[in-house]
Amino acid sequence: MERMNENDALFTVRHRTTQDKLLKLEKGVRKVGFESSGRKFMLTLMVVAVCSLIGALFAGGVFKGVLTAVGGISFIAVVFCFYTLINGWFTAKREIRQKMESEEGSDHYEWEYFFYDKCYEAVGKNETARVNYEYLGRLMDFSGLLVLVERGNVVRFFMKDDVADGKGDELAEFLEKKSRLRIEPVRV
Amino acid sequence: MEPLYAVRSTYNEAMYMSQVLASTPTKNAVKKKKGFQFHISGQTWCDLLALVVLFGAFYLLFGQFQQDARVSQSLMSAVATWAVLKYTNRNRKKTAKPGTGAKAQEQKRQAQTLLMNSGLSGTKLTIRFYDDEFEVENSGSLTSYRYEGIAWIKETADYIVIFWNQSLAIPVEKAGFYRGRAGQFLTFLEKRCGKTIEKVRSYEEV
Repeated sequence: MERMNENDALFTVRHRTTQDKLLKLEKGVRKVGFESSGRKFMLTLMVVAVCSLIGALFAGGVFKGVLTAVGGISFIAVVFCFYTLINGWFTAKREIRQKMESEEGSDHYEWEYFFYDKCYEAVGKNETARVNYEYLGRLMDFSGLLVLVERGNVVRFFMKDDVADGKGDELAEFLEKKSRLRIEPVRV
Repeated sequence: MEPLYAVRSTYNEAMYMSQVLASTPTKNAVKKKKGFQFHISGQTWCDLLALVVLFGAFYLLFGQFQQDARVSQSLMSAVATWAVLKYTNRNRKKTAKPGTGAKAQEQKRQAQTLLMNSGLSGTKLTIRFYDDEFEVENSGSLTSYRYEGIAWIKETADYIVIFWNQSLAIPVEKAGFYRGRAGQFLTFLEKRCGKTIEKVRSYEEV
């Protein structure tokens, strides 16, 4: 692939993927996923559990039993959901640590990004991509980690601080303008 | 520079199905599940297990009842809860085609979800293979990959799936070659990457 002239780039990013960045990304992705569907489900379960158990205090006979059962099961489900969330996070954390330790010192994690007027180029060890801004599906800011989600679910990320000459915020504004997307802030 | 091999295809469900199949561990994809499988009225043993667990939970919760009432109430509550769970699952069962396994249906659902989330349904794709790299081009991006970076390769009935890493797969449609032929390409790819291409069969083919 014929590369564009790097001197024409409006913004340049050079970064190395670190364990901290991967953890931040993982945390952000989990939070976004949880907020889109999981939170509503868990809140519903918690409301059902609390209402049923309170109802059971005032009800009598068969109703008391049924409400206690529904409340108890909902409570168990809430505990199970919490367990799944926490367990998933610790598993991901362990996997990231193991991956980084096994490939420590590899230049596999060195990336360069060049943002031009019409498109941007991402250059890694064995791949080079040129992407039009219209091809971006989502832009997110995970507490300083800028995440570019392309169509086809390709995710590119770097810290705002990795942008050359401290132009992180300018690049974020530029991306919003070019892609016609709003950056979704996610606190992680 | 002219490519050695070139392929045109479209992002569709079949393409994502090939990725799902290729991502499935070969052991499960090729071997038929053996051993004892317990069925009651068409339901799997999982339903029975769910009923037993629900019965147990209700039995513990209905401690204030007499023994016979406790058992009957627990049984009724467990069956009712199980029925609700089955009812919420009805759409999945309705879409299941006769003669296909639950695993095949699950894979189909996964492929549909991946296609929907990708936002690429119906988009044209061209892949060009050169001597030292290959390019993937669609309406909004052009990416070139060096063969050295390929993690592993699998072959399904209609696609050759090149895995760049665990989350990125590049499907090459066998019927889409407009330069070179699929058979020759497989040999070229194996030689160029120094990797053995593993064949994958769907559950329906087994």
